Amino acid sequence: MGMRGRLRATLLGSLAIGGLTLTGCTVKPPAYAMIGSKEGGIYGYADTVTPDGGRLVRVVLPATFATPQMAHDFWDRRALEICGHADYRKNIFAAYRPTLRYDHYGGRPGDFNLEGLLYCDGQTVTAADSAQPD
Amino acid sequence: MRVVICAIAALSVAACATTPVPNMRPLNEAQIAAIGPTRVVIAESDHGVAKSWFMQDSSAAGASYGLIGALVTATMDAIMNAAPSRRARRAADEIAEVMPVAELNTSLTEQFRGQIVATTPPPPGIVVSEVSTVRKLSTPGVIDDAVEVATSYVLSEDASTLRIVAAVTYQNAAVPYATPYTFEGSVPKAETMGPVYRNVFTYYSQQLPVPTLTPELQARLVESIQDSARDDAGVLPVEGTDAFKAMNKELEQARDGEFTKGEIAIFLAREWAKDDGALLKAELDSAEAFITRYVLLDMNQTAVPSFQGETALVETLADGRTIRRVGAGLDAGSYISSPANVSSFATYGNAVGIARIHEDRLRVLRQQPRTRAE
Repeated sequence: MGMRGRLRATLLGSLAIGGLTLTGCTVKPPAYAMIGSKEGGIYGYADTVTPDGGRLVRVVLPATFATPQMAHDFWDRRALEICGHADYRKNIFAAYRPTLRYDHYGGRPGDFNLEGLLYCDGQTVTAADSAQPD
Repeated sequence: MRVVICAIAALSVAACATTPVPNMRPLNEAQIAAIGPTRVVIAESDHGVAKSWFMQDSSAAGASYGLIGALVTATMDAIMNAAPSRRARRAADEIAEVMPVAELNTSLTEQFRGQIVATTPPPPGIVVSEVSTVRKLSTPGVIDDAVEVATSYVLSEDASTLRIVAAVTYQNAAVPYATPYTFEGSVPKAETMGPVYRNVFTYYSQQLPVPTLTPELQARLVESIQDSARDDAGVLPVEGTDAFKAMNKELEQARDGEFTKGEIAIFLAREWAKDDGALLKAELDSAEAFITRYVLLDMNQTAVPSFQGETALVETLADGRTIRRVGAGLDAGSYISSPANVSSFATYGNAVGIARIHEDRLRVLRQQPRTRAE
């Protein structure tokens, strides 16, 4: 391979590495999906039926690229999906960000966790309606 | 040599394959009957109400640049950490004025004393027969045949929420722990020893409303930063010193229009302390009632937590406060009492600020001789 060939190979190699690096940095907003599903992965929403006929709805969103408002929006969107109307009662009992540790002792706020009880009022919720991951 | 390496590798792999089990250890019916009336020992709080904050650490970033890198990152960390650690200490100082550790310890002890059953014969199951306190710093070790209760009190990063955690254990040489879990192969060593009962009870206070940043509040914030930077003689740090740089950085942040959780805490800590700590005391009463009630309920039930179960709603109080039993993970089986209608996301950092008065007391206690628990 001549000098020109080597230069071309180096250039193509650099472009490929650069492209891969940029792909790695691509930021995707958290998908509105069920936790455990293909789209959501470890993030999204999950819910279970409570003995009093309500639902325990949980939203987990990544520490980066999510906001407190986004977590509340996900929760309300899921509530609307379950109840089918906006006339629901909610009791958010937990909104927290566990500590993410880095290096030796450093820390920063972790994922957004939002949990609460949902009551559709007048609408019976059964275990069969409960969201299950794919 | 090859055999030894293979054996070590096999052992390492085996260690990784151990099935994790929840931290909570329930009692079985025979153990409950054997324990019956028992004493409760409250481990005295040494830290009082602490204030959490996020400590920065950039040492790994500087490590690749040798000694110079280490020195630069250490200086950077010192400047970045100075303001939040000072604020946390100051918040803890303000709280300690209205809530000394002695009051915290007395309050919890009295709550458990209210549970003492003096009837003869005592009712079946585990009941409280007597209550005492122990200072773990001077009397370390496990106390045999006693329910040990150790509590921690921490304000969130923005001081909007008080978190109270009670770690409860019971150990008795006559009632050894027998793991309720089955394992592939041998039982892990950790599951063959230790307390026969263990659980954690966490209480979150109601959330204080987070103030909005107004020009007046910003001016008070600047004033507060300058006040806390003054030395004992009331003089501001000299230009060029680390203390001056830290104060300037804090002032820049105060004027940037963003109201950080650390800055919010300056104002909310005062809300907890006002009216002689009335709000703080009300929350402590509520937390202690939850802890005493649920410790006894939990010790008398035999449900074995699962690592992959589901969280159960145990109780909803009249004010909307919920009590849940965690269903999955290491915390499965533990209880959480949370207020209704939480809105702001709470963070608890990786460091806590302790009041100066408590630190001074700890220093004295550490110099005293220790005795072993009986």
